[in-house]
Amino acid sequence: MSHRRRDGADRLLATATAGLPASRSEWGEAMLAELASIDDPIARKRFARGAARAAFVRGYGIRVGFGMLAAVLVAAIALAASRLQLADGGPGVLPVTVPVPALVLLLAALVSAGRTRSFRIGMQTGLVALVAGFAALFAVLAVEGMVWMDLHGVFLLDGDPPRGVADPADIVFDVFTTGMWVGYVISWLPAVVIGAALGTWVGDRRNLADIRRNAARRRDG
Amino acid sequence: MLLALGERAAGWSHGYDLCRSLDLKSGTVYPILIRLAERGMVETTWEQQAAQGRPARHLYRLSPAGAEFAAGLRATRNAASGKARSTVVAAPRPVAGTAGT
Repeated sequence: MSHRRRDGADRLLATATAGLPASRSEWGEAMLAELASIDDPIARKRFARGAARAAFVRGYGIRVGFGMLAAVLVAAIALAASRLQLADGGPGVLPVTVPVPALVLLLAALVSAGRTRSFRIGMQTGLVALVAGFAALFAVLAVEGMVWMDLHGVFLLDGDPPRGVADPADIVFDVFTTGMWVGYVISWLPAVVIGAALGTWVGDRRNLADIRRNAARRRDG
Repeated sequence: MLLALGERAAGWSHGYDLCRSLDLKSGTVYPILIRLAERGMVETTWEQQAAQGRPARHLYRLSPAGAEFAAGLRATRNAASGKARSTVVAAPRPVAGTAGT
């Protein structure tokens, strides 16, 4: 059976292992090689399913997990900023919802890159966090914007009153303007890049320290 | 896992063989192997001569540190099971007529 065609088990495992960080890519190759040694179709499927789940969690899980956690934190920060100012109806949440989530994204990219020692995975985690964070933030701001307008007759972002009468669409579009998107991208994207770079550097340093410690332990033992 | 690898003395094991001998899924065995290898308990290498038409497989065995740890584990387990056995042997039999009171 030297030229067996790729089957579903091969494809599943290849897809799952493609997401592994470089530091663990050898394990992906090991799983694929092991799968190639199994002939029984049922055993192949079972092996591929288990190994793919493990590879997926270690590869994509960290990106999606940290990304989603960061998005939840961004939403919570926006909600807290809104609720803490709600009694006064100002000065608006923009001074909080731009820089603080940037710090959250930086941390998500940093931790992810640090754990995997991979700039690429740090960036991908940060980008997942950025996109999910946008969605979460705008959902919170759109709803809270209505509450602010209802209570104080002002926009949530800057605490300014509208010119004329504002309907719900105006309130939501105030949150979704092009300027807002661009402003957030300009502020958040560098945070992701810095976090991923810093995390890779920290991860490499920790790995080097581990290697030295293990070498010293072997020498002493 | 450590004990299973320890039982194979100095021999190398394949991942799938470990799954079968331990009756564990690959999704359980590989994460453990990865952790053990990263902690220096397990050594890994690639087969020098792969079967014809197949890629070389990854091989695993205990490192000296892993073997030492596994020996300690085995001793602890033996001591615990010996203690349990002696407890069972030394346990007083219930006195007739007192059971269920």
